[in-house]
Amino acid sequence: MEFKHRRGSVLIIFDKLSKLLLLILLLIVSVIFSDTFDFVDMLAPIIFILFSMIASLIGYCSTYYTVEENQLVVESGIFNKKRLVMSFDVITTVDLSQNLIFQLFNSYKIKIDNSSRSSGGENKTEIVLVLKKEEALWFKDVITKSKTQVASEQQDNVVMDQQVNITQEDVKNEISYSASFLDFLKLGALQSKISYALIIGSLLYALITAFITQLTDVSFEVLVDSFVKRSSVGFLIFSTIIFFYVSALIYSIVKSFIKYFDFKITSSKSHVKIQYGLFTKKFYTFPKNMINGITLRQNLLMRLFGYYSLEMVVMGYGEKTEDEEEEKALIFPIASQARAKEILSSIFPNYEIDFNYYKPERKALIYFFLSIGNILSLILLVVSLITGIAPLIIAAVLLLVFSAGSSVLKYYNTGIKSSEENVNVSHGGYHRNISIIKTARIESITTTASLLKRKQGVVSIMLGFVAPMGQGKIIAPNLPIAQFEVLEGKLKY
Amino acid sequence: MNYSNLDKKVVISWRISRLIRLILVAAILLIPTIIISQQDFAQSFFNEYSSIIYAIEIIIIAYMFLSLIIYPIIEYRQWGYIIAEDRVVIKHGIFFVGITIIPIIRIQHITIEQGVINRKLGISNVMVHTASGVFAIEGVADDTANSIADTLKSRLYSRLEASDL
Repeated sequence: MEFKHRRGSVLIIFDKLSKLLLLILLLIVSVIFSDTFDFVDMLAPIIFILFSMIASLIGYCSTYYTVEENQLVVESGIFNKKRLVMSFDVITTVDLSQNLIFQLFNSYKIKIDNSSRSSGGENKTEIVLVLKKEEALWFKDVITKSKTQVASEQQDNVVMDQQVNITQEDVKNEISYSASFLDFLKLGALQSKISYALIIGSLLYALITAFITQLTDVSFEVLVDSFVKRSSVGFLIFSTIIFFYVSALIYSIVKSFIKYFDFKITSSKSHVKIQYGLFTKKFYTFPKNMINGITLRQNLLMRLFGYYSLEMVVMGYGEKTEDEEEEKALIFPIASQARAKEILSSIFPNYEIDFNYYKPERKALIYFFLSIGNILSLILLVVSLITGIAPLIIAAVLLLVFSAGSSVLKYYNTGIKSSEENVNVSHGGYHRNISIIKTARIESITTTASLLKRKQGVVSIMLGFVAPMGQGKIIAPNLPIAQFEVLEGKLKY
Repeated sequence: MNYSNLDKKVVISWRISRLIRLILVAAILLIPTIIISQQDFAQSFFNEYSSIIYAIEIIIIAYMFLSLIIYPIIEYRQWGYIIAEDRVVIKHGIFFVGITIIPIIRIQHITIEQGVINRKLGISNVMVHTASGVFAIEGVADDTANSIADTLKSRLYSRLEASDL
């Protein structure tokens, strides 16, 4: 198949449209349920939607793609012409995804990324196009096979015939793990609920206000007022908490199910493939040699029940996308410790989870409490005691307890273990992270300590490594200085 | 190995930078305060709280003035760098001292930066770029900066050749 100076599919204009889905739904709902239809009120959102589609269409008409032997060329622009040349060697991710419209037309959105970043923090080298299924799969194959060939040549000096065999061997030795419905239930149940509770609260208030007014001619506020007058304060607080928690729980489970539907990770010798999604299907492919680390994440609920969320550190995956949506670099959405070890040992055998960390010494405990959160909470408590305002005192005490709890958890969660292959770092308070970083990918190490702390042999250790924007640094606080010296000895020079 | 010191002129550079910051902060704090205090609508508020407001502003300005005098001396004593065969070590900080180790083989490129003040003083900053961040050796003489950059480049190339990359 040839791909020379061609556009992608015009369906790309519907990619932007899917991001405006909520706006379109709200428009439809307001047309159906409003008492009077006023076109002038609808004009602004309609113009915005049409403008987005026209801008996408202009972009589509002026962008051409060429696949050459070892590189991808993108020519774009009408007045300000640009030519981007990206060698296959530097491509870190080739992602395929399908929203509902693409599924209807049997097409895929392809996102191609490398590890370069511009100074403004935006990802200006990300390439996005839409193609029919056959072309999209061919596109991905050309890029990923080329990378497999390059990696093989560098490692083994293998000639062309044997590279074909390596690819066939890849397919034969694939290992897969899939997420079940039970996994989605666990994920939904154990995820943080606060943000969901706020979203649900706002949505329910808007919807109920609209519907109740339509159906009963009585305003929502009057109904709530009569309910509140008939109930005790304790019952009101209890029922409000239960209502929001259960709503957030259901919302979280449904969202997990939709987002990670049919989650599957497949590993071959050289690549990892990940796919998931119900309405928007996503397909990611990563060369294993581009993965710089693994992270196991636990919030407090997950910690209580012994579950982890597995993520990877790879350039081009796990950053904010072009529409500012944060994309998690997921290996597996939720797994017990045993299952996490099994998945990692079979898919990433070079990454070994080692829970036998070197922990902070007892004398370092005081330094965990010398945090900004604790200091500010104490100041707030003193001010509230001076002013004598009861609600402020209660708030300050709660804040102090919360902050002190975080300090205690940080003390118990912090640890480091360095080896020739990997550095295992555990850190965090209420949210614990266990990072396993390849020693060879560590770019810098830093200790920080006051003069007094350093005299006591207590330092904070920071690792700098190759990772997406904002993720390339890990800090393990208040560890023995001997661990920094061990780490210094293991670095690759 | 012993740490190499920065050029002594960097103390002058830091003091000038802090002085500029002090003037800006003083202007931002005092000018609006004086203007608002002259307005009728703010008279009652200022009559009650003027001493507290001015006290806070004077404390901030006084602290910045003291830091202008004292901090550069402390910082100069604690700053240091080592250019070894296989690594760069940078020590820096005032109250919290940081020691950073960068394997030379992880260096992507090196730049030499010089602002207006440093150009007049004949000193430069050597910026060591890796894929994960930038590290600075601040306030070295111009010829020392060029020598550091050349040394790092040649050691980087020889290490890359040795590792066949």
